[in-house]
Amino acid sequence: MRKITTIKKKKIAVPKDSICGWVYNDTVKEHFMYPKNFLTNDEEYDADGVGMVGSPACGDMMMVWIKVDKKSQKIKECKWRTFGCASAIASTSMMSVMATEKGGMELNKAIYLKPEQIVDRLGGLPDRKFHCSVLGQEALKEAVEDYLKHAKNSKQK
Amino acid sequence: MQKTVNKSKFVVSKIKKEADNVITLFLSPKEKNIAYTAGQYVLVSLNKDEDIHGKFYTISSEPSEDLLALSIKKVGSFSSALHNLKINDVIYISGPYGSFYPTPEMNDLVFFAAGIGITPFFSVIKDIIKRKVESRVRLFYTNKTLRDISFFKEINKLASKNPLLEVFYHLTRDTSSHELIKSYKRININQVQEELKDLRNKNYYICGTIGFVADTRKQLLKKKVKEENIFTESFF
Repeated sequence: MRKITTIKKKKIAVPKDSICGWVYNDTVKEHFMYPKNFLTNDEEYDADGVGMVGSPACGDMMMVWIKVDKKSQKIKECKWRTFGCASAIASTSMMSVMATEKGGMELNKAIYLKPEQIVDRLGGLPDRKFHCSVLGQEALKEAVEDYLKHAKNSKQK
Repeated sequence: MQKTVNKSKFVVSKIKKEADNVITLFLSPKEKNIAYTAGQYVLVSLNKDEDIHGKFYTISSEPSEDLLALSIKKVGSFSSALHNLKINDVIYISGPYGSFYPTPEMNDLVFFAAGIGITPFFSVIKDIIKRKVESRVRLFYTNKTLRDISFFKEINKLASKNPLLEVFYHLTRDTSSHELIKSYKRININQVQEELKDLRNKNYYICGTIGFVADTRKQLLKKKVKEENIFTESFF
């Protein structure tokens, strides 16, 4: 089994008024550098629902795994992995926080989660990076639908 | 993490100019047709093998129509290539994708469309009328000029025959008067509120540029419309 190492927080010095400074705000930066709920080894992760989408616009791929509390029909855990860019990482990280905070998001709310809500919570993304926030949200929707399909099938059995 | 995309071959069987820089490609399936819900979009590519290169376009036909219609605005190199297609040219479609459509229990719908953002609504409205769904629809449709309005004649025809459909046209850079143009300003939520009387118990669908969608959603939220009653789709 591969060992998962945690990266220690380190301050990265970016010169003030630098012409090559970040176009991203601090929240986006934080979620990009220290992504929350990132899953490296999915083989041993027993998910209730899996979603995978790819954005042909930039070659990004996104996977989302969820665990669902059967009784409350809320998302207990939301893990993800992407080959995407900084914005895709930051927005999916934020999305995973939104899906699991305050006791977990209800499934029908997760299906209809809007990219605009994620972008709002990130404090904004450049317009040309908006599509990155769609990626995680689409994968989460697929994961919920995957869970609901399986739940329905096992009920029929 | 590879996902295969199933592409279906389609042939261009009709091309129609809808507005300045907007055409509709009417496509017939070469092998198998795709089953879709009004409001969904597809991935369009010009090459069968190229796996990732393509763009998403909303379907502007409704499911019972014989030909699959995609209405495309010329903005970049890919859409320009689609504008240069001729009758009998081949394109590849995969999908459908998306969930930007009303559910059966919604009976009071408010649609906000900016420019080519009309496409999902055009499909959904035709579908609602075709299936005789008893749902009230109010469409706020904004464009820069009169010449930018896609489906102008078709929408007016649908509205004149269906009392449940009301259309409010907005133009932002054109002052030429037309009896059907309600406003020569951007869509303003106070004006919308006047038309709707009450903003509660309705479902709002917004489609357009990222800025238009974000701004309209924020205006609705400010008026205490609930987040779960707002549905969005932006193009980028």
